Amino acid sequence: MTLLQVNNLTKHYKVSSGIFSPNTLVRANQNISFTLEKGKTLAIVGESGSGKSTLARQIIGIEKPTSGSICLDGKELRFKNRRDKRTRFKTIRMIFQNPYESLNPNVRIGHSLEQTLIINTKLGKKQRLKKIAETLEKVGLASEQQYRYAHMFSGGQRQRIAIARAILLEPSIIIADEPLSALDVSIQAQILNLIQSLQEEMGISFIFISHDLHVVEHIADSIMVMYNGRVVEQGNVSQIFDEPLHPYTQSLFASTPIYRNRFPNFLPRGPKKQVDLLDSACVFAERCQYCETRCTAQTPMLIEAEQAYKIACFKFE
Amino acid sequence: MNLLHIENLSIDLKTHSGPLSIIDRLSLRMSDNEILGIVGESGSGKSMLAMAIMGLLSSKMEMKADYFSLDGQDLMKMVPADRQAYISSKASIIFQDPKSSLNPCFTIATQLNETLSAHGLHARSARKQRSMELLDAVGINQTKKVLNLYPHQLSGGMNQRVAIAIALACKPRLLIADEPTTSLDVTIQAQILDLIVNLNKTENVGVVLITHDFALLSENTDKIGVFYSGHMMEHAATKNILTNPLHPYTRSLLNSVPQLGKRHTRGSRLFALKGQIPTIDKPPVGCRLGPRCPSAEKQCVKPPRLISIPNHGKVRCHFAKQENERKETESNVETRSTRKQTILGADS
Repeated sequence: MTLLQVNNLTKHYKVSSGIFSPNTLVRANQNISFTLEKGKTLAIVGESGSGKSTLARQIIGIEKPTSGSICLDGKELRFKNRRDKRTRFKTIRMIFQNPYESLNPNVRIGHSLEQTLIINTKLGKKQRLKKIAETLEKVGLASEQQYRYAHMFSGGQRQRIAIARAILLEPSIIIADEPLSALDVSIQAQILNLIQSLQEEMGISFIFISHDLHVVEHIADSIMVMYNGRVVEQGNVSQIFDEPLHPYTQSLFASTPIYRNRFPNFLPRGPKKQVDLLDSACVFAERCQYCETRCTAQTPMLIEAEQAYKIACFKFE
Repeated sequence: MNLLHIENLSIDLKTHSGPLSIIDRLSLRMSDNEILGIVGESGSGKSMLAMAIMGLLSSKMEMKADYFSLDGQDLMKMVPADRQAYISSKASIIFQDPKSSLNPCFTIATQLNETLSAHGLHARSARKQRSMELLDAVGINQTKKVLNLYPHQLSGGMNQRVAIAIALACKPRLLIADEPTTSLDVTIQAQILDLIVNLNKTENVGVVLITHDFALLSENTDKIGVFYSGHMMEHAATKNILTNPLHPYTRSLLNSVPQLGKRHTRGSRLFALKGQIPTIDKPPVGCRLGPRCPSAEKQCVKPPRLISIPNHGKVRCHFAKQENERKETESNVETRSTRKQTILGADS
């Protein structure tokens, strides 16, 4: 069942480059479309600056999309509409990368959690406390710990609190923006297990943003690879991890230890080549080893090559 | 000859309520031109070891060692000023975040010149020549242009290359890389790591690579040391650690990383150690891993010693010998049974 549908989502920022020169346009996201099924995990992979976080911010409604639409359960979510905003905040929640920064250090964590309930539900005081205690136990903390401040917790525990805040309203979608990268390896496994058990228990869909291919292969059902604001390859786990076709995905695998043994023929990313590019060139043309003259002039469209598999490269047209 | 030879190094933090042990009786040997990987969680004391080797510990720390030699000379016998000069000529360090290890107020050329003149290269033209060579060695193409830029004008990967170039300025015998790739992108990570490994071969430097990522260490290092709560838990050749880890901590670290090609099915979970690393002010009684260890027994309330296992390395665990024997017999049984099968197969 399709839960979330994103159609041609685009975000452009105007950046001023001095008083007298015209504004330049930064294309953070261009024409991004995907669907998310209920209870499944979509992983978004890409390097920093590829627009993964901008995409997440548009989906939960912090940023206004320049164009394109986001549909939840078949109904479009309008950015300015109040009722849409409410449903959006209730059904789509977010876990941020750094648990040291995403919790307010001035208040007890119970208070942080309670705010979510005060704003979004009509529960009374006692019910709220009960709900908070239940949720904390669900993420593996004791209910007494709600009277502590954020600095009294370790990194792993803070991430558990952030997860508790995300599941408090029983959302149907959680966006996790690199939830593991600030944590130690042994704690990472704990949090990953927690995410999976919550998903199986509550049937939550996850949008999992990460650059760790090991984790992505472990947790994802479908994967979207982004480069420079565009989707370059999109498919399910077996399509992307068994036979990646786009040169960028290949270079990603070639530069990850252990995975390069699986794909010995892929070349890691080389230095930027000196090629004359038009504005409409393929985003990866400069670094692509297969770059042809056509790539420097035209952008390849994202085409559906197989069932549920899309790729944007001229090699496969 | 040993490039680095440490015997019983202890580092204590002086506090009002008495000293707290950060590193406890650590012994380590590293031969010339070796790449040693050090892996451990944050708070395990791995960065403190790097600081101790470089002589950069703060005045609140107290360092004791029976023997601490770098490239053949005992550092503990030198007066502090001599020691500092000697260390800076023999070893250098790269830090995690290249943006904060370079000074934003000065150009790359100034920062390289400063280091070069500190190491006795005073003529201007010679310094310029040498800085171009260094930048070239770390794989920067337009060296002339880059020399006149400020750190904020370069990308993270380029900054890390410059930091490595500065570290190489003194022609070190030992290069310590303290999480050199953590703040970089995956594709850049691979480039920087390749660069460090290449420098190990071309410039003939020994490398200590500190990280918390086993995958990074698995391909390039000769030996791995596993740190936990200020103790060296296992120290052995990379191949042995990866194929036959004898310490429960090493095993659980390896198991807690998703295995290659393993996709999740309903109900499948990763192995995860329970709890978290103990704080330095309240270390557990006996074995430091004790409360979290999946295979702890009664004996573990006594602190284990670092014991040598033949054909493996050193392990700090009461059950290391038993574990090793068990694995050996298992493999023997396997080989015997396969031999049996082949004989039977030949007969039939």
